[in-house]
Amino acid sequence: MSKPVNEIKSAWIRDAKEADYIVVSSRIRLARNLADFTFPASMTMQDSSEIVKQVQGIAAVIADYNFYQLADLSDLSKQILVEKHMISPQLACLQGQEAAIIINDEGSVSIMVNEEDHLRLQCILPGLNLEQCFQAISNADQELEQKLNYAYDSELGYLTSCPTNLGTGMRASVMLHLPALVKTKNIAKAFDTVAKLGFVARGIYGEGTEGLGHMFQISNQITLGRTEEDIIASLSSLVKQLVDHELNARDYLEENFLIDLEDSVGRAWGLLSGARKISAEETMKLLSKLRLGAERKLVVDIKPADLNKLMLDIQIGSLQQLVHERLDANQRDIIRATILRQRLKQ
Amino acid sequence: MVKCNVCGKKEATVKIVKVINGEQTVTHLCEECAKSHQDLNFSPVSFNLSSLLTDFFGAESKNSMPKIYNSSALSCSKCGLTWNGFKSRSRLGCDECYNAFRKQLLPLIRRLHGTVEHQGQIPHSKKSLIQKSKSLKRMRMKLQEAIVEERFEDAAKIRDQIKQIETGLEVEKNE
Repeated sequence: MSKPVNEIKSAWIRDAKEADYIVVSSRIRLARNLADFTFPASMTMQDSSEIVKQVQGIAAVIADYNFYQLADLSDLSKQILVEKHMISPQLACLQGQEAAIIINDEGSVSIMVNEEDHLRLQCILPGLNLEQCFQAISNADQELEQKLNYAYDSELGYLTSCPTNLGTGMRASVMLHLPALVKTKNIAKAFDTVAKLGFVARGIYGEGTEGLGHMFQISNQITLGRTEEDIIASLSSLVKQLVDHELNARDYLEENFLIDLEDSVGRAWGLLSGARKISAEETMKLLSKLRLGAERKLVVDIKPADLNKLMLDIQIGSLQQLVHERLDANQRDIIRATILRQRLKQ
Repeated sequence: MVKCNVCGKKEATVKIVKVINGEQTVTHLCEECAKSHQDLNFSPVSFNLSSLLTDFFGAESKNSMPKIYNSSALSCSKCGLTWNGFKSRSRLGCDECYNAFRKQLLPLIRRLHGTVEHQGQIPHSKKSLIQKSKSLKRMRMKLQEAIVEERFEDAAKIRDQIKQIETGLEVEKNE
């Protein structure tokens, strides 16, 4: 029996450790297709429902899997799953085909059925944990593979809807908080190195190169011609380098601009704990300053898990879930400020 | 006389030496097989500068396109997707599309990933078969090299190993 979908907590939010201020989360995603069906973009309604049925049958016998038909989920539940990074926005608004989602009890593994590929398996864990993600997702992959006939070519590897995912079908990514590299104007240089090594950096929230809340995602661009372990090892070592650069930049700011740094963290805390009405965008910018202050042990003392939870709870869907009510933009800004005031009492 | 690695009959007149990640492989081909070999394309249009450039920029200039590239009628027998259909939506229709459009897709895949050879995991059920065919391919290359370099004792050993793998493969395929 599957748990109510909103009760499953995301592992990357809940289980963040003391040190997970800079590396927020690690994620591994595998794309898989079934040889006996056309890919989702060309699929008939009947085929899509047959695939959902087959996957449901497999999920039913795995103890910690929760299975949900997309059509059975409310728009709000789907939006919250997107905010928890458990499903993609594309799946949330999919129409004309049957689709489904599997989530494990721990809230770390989720499997999308009939998104761009028949199966998109992913595991997200807090901190730098790519190997563990890969282990968990490989286990899930093997469980499915025993019962399903995967589309595979001996030269090209796992066959995917889009040739950009071909081969391993694997996208490994890490979410990083890099405010000091942005502040010291070293971010472009750092991302040049990222690109030279075959990885891509992009802002996670909002538009623009700075990334709202200084949150960035680094992921592999190439999926073919390298082993999964090789991609993971390269990304891990690249992330460690970026973290070192970020720490150096933080040391520099603390040594040379301590009062400015403290002032900026203190003002952010003042606004977040005193505002009566605040937008998601402003909140994300200010939470970034609190996160930096907390890591440096300046002005504030907040754990990474609490900061991650705040980042989620101030999003549109999660806010409405908290108050069990549909809210317009103005009401959302008011409720958001109320939640922030309650959580940031020190 | 060195025989062609592909047909195994005619005399090889073309030698391809590939160095990938420091690993060298040598392939010998006769003129006939070289014409259709993926690493060489002797048709004059393939060396046309404009086609190289359009390929590089990922765009197509219709006027300079020789007929051979006009593959609008090309379609997949399983899902019916045409090559033009793929170009307009950038998504393939099914696994069979990778065979139907292989010739057209390989340059694109090479541009995206820098290679066209998967190195990662293999589905459990296909593992043994695929690993054996891959090692067979490698051994055959080694055999040719040994023959060319007149290391006949090595060649004999490799030939025996190949036979062993081939017998294993036959048994597995029949199971």
